[in-house]
Amino acid sequence: MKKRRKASHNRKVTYLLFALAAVLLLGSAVGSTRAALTYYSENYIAEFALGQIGVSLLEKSGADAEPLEISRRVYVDNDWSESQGELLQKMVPEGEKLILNKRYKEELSVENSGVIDEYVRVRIYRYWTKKEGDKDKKVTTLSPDLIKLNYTNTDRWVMLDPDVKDKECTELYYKGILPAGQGEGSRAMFADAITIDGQVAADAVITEKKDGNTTVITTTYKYDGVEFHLKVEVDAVQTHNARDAIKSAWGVDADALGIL
Amino acid sequence: MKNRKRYRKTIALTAAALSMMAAVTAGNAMAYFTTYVEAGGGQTISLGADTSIEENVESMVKHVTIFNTSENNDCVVRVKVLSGSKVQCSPEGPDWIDGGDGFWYYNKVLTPKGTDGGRTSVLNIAINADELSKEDGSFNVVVVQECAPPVYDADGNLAIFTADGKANPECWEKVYTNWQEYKDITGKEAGN
Repeated sequence: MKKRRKASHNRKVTYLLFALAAVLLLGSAVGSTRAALTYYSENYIAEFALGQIGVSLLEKSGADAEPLEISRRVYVDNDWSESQGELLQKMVPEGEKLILNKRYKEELSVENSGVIDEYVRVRIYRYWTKKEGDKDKKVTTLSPDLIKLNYTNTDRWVMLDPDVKDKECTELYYKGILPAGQGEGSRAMFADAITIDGQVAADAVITEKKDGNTTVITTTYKYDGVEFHLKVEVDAVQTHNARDAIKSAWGVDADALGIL
Repeated sequence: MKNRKRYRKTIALTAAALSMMAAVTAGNAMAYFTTYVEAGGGQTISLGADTSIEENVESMVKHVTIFNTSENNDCVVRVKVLSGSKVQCSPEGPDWIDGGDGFWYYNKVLTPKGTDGGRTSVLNIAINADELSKEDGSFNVVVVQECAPPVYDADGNLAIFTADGKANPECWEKVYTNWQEYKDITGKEAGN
């Protein structure tokens, strides 16, 4: 008798849980159905257009007369149209060498290349590498601050933690909406020049060798052959329901940053 | 045994219910339109240079030429001539500029070995030893040469010369002072 009652109790629990699962399933299905209905409603065209988001990174360097599109990612015809190029290819004119302390033109801009307005942020990574065999190994003893990117248009961009030194990643958030449409009105420049600080040559080892009447002093520079890198990531997010969208996509509080 | 089987069923159903809930929530969180692009690039820094000095003495004139023996790197050079108090030396040569600090500065950047600009023009050092008496015996004229990586200002002009082409020893010292702390000047001494 006792056994039967226990079995019946267990069955009840199972059925209860099964019913709960069914209700949850139904709930999610109803949600989907509602979404589908909205999708095919009168607002269909407007809803579809919302997906046409796009962003491009532009560079004007060396003897360039106009900014050139380096990378782009735009949603067109239900698919992503994307391309990715390389920065700093024209920084040093052909046949010349990189000069320490010289200010090189490096105008970097973000362009809204989609058909909807958007909020944008830029993350800039500066770091050093050195070849070891076939591999590039990061040099962590050289400060990223020796790669001096001159930020411009600073009243339009909010920099995260501007006082922190030697950081590899700098984050810039564009204040307000970057309107769609391409061209001048859809662009926001954030840097205009790059300089490599001569201090990179400051660390050296000196050796002295006597050869008859001649003393030969040789200096070996610790950072001879290092390579500096600049990497730029641009993120864009919709303006509709911006507060939540920015929080969800970038993990930051747009109100606290003052970018809305 | 039977009970354990039943519990397994219960746990499986509960897990399924929770997964469905999670899936529904995740769907909402990802429903924003976003996009991104990225690009990167870099350049290599070549530092350090090595030089050799060539000296010939003919009719009390010492001819000095300096060669950049580095395979890749440019450098700038300067030369100092040391002699006894009774020996006067007068260096002169095209492209050599008297810095007024005892050094003579070559006004061009020496490009790497084997290139057209990889050697200096000749610096002629006229030696006047008339004041020496026989008792003084032989004398030495020592040439000290230093080379360093070329340093420029923000406009790309060589920092060790002024805009009107004059040597700027103060700037050489200023630019390389920090570096001297690290003893980063390459130099050679030659004497006979």
